[in-house]
Amino acid sequence: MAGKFKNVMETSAVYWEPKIKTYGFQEITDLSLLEVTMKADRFALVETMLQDAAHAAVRFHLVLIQPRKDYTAQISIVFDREWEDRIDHYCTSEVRLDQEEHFSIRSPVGLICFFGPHFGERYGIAETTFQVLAENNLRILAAGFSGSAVYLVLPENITQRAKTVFESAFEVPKSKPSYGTGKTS
Amino acid sequence: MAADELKGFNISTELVLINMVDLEDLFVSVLPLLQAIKKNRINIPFFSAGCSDTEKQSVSACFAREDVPMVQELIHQEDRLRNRADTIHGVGLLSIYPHRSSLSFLGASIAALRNAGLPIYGLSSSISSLIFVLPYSRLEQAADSLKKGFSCIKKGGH
Repeated sequence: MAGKFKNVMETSAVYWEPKIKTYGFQEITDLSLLEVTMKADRFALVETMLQDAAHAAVRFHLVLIQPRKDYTAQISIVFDREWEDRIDHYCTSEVRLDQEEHFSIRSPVGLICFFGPHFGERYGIAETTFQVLAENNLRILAAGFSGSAVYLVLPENITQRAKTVFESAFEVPKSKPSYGTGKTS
Repeated sequence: MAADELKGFNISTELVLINMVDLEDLFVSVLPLLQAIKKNRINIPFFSAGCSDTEKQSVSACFAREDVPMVQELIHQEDRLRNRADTIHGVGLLSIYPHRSSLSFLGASIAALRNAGLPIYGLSSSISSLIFVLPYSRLEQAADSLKKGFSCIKKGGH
């Protein structure tokens, strides 16, 4: 292993504890997941849609952009379910279904969010998270791990069970965490 | 508009992005890779997965440059991943905050980067920041474009 670390910067640090410490898990429900697939040069469509939705005071809980095949990208947005009709109406009128663009809205979905000390520097968080999901046969719809936080989108009917199994697999403090806006349970 | 004020940036070191597309089952195809990555004590500074379509799941992950040969070797060992991974060298993470869950903040960010001709390789929101995966050599340009874009909003020019 000595060779593996020879190029690591002096400021790099690695933290390790047998059970991963978190600041707790938050569950948000009554959400919808919008997924739009398009060519990257059509991102202007998303900008317009976002401005339109923003004027209506729609807020997001999670946003992801991921590359797909053939220079397409998928943008995923999790928002409060009460806005689903408006978003659906906009996408139905603007997304060019004949130009390899498509969209879908899934609901109800739930979101599990968590973060912890040293999440930015610690290896093994993604592996532990996916191991817990696989062992409990919990299928996720989307996931984002960045900026020291983990977000998992799941069908709403399994969100509570997912939170319970994660609270067993990770170390959780006694006090509850607080994360941004949203309906929480 | 106070909700769309850009208050700060963070720029990462140079990283490598690996995209894996058209995966059939994330647990079967990606979990063994994550186990091997953990075994080799490799950190993943950015990871996103799209898995709502059961037949076309995808994963994007960034790694430090020095970890990439090992990660590529681990991918090569997995039959289900070997021919489905694309590597983009020379990327970096640009974190901007606070997003305040604002869709117009998100839209303005994408517009500013697109108007500057910057390819967006990936994005994930976090607690208070939006984290973009962009060409490393153009991160400063991206930051300048965002500053300019948000100052236009502040002046009511958007």
